[in-house]
Parts: sequence; C-alpha cells; structure tokens
Amino acid sequence: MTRFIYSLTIGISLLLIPQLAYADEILVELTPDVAYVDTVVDVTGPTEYFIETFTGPRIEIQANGTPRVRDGWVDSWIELRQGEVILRADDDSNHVTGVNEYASKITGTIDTGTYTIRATSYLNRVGYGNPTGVYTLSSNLIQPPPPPVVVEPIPPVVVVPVVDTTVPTVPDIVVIEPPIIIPVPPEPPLVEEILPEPEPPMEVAEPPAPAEEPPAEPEIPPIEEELPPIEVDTPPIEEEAPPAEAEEPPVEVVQADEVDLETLAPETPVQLDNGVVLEAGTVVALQLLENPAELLAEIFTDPAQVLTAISNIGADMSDEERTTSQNTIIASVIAGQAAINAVGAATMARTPTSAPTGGGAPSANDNIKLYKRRKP
Amino acid sequence: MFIAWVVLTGSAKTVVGYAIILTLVVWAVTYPLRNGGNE
Repeated sequence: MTRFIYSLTIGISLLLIPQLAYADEILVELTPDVAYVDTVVDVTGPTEYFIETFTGPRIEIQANGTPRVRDGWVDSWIELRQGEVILRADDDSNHVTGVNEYASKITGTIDTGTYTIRATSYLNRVGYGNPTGVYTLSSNLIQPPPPPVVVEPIPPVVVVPVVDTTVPTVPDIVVIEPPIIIPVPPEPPLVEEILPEPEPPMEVAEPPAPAEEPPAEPEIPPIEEELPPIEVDTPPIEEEAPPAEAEEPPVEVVQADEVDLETLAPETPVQLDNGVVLEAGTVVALQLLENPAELLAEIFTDPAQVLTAISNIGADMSDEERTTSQNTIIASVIAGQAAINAVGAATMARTPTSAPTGGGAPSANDNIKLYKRRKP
Repeated sequence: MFIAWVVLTGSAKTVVGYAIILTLVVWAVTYPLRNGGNE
C-alpha cells in the first residue's frame, strides 16, 4: 500500500512538473548595435508569470590564476512592458553568487493583453553604453515557435489563387484529350506506328497535347517555385523589426503606482500619475514629506535623504501646473500687497492733521504741535 | 499661503499645508504676548 501511495505521488508529480516548468528560452545576445531584445507575448486571461535570466558566473580564473570578468558575461536587466509603459522591471533579483550572478527575475500576475518582454543590460539601462554579452531569458509567457504549423497553411492560401488561373487550362486540356483519344484508335496509320506500346490511344493522344501542355506544365513549377520566395520574404520582415525598435529613444520610464520604487535603482526614471518623470530616488525622498514624523526621524538616520526631499519640493509638479500656480500666486501676492497699501493709505487719509496747507513758513507753534503729534 | 495651498499640487501642496498649520499655531501661541503689551 505504501508503495502504491509513493508511486501515485511520484506519478502525479511527474505530471505536474512539465506544466509548472513549461517555458521557452531565448538567447539574448547584446552588442553595441543591439541594445536590447524585445519579445512580444499574448496573454489570454489572468496568468501567473515569471521572467528570469541566467547570466552565469561573473568571474573566471585565467590560466595564470588571475581572476577576471568572464567573456560574454553581462549584467542583465529585464522589463515587462505594455506598449511604452513599463509595468515591471528588475535588475538582480535572481542573483546567486558564483552561479547566476546579477541575474534578473520578475514574477506576478497579468491580465489579458499583449505584452513585451525587453531584455537588455543594466549598463544600457543606466545610460553607460551598450555592452557585449550573452545571457538566457526564460519565461512561461514565451510560447515556443510553431514552424510546421505556420508553414503548412501558407501553401494552400497561396496556391488557391494560382490554381484558379491554371486549373481552367488544365481541365480544358484533359477534356479535350478524351475526345481526341476516341477518334484516334480508328485511324490505322497512327495505330501502326505505336504498336510496340500497350496503350496506343493514350500515346497518340499525347502528341497533340504536349504541343499544348508545354506551356501549361512549365507554368506549374514556376508557381510552386514562387512559394518559397513568399515564405522567405516573411523572415526578413521580422528581422527588420529590431533595427526599427533600436531607433527608439533609450529613455524609458516606470509607472510609479505599479512598481515598488525602493526596489528600483535610484537612477531609474519613474513616471508619476501627472506624467512627470523623476528618478526613483527622488520620488522615494519626496514621499518622506507626506509623513512629518518619518521626516523628523529620517533627519537623524539619513539626512541626505531629507536634503534630497527638501531640495526637490515641487519637482513632482508638471510644467503646466507649475506655471498656473506661479501665475496665480504672484497675482494674489501683488493684489494682496496692493490691498494692504490701499487700506494703509485710506487709514492715513482719515487721520486728522493740522499741518499748514497755506503758504509761508510754519510758525514756532506749528512745529511744536507737529512734534507733539508725532510723539506717541 | 492658502491660495498657494489651493493651486499647488503634490509635495509642494503638502509642505505649504504644513507651513500654514505651523504658522497658525505660532500665531495663536504668541497672540497673548503681542496683545498683552497694549493693555
């Protein structure tokens, strides 16, 4: 009984393992000309996914015993994008020292849609150039290519319009042949010439047919030969796509509300809800301002973070918001000052004064009154 | 400052809001000191 349970458990495990581990791998080869590799995936329904890279060990020991960075090794960076929006990004979550160093990994759940997995390097992501290196990208979102399924449906689709033009000629020939065959046997001269062969009518009928068929038969091979060029034309189109994408601006942003900002590199551009793009470190620092207690505590633990927050107050406003606010505040300040001055002037005007309004020098008594009036 | 608080957004709005509250508190606390001299 125990053996049966063990066997049943192992059998169920073997059935489950292929489903859980199902994924396809892509070899990402980065060069100065190939900054990243995009893989478009279609997702139907909520799907738990994983995207990970395998970079291998970073350091290798040379023949003379000196360690150095292994040739072809590159620090991977992966992004899950939808259009131009970066949903998730990761640098080193799959890092295993000495085995899979600085490798990346993203997991989560996504809904139905078309997504793009971009595999690039950390150096490229932070703007330090395009290093040369190779690593493996693996994900359960990547479906294996179905080459036989794709190739088979193409011939019927291509042949159908071609056959429409050729078939009418072939049936005409075939239909014409039987009537020719039937009258030929009665003809004695023709039968005598083709006596050695068992089917004289067929061969007799063919002589006229070849005269008509040569143009028909050669047409078929060219038609079939036209198919390969059509199939060959497809790959170049797919190969032309990466260069077109390579011309896109290298600066990409991460949605702030969909990413844990503290897990990103401080230099990573992050797009806020109002469209403003800031560095992840700046956004994290600005979040300190929302909690005064945390801000005060951070003064003693990380004053640089507080300085960053204070020096970037208002950086999360868009240019339009900043301009509108600036104009409104300046107008209100000017209006406020004008109102204060007007009130002050009105107050001074209502205060009775005995200053001489006529000409002539003031008398000694007037000076005394003014002096006294000024005294509080 | 209240107008600024209304028109600003984000961290600037937060900071100005705290500044308004802090100013009101300081104004209220020092009110007896300022008016006590006139009596």
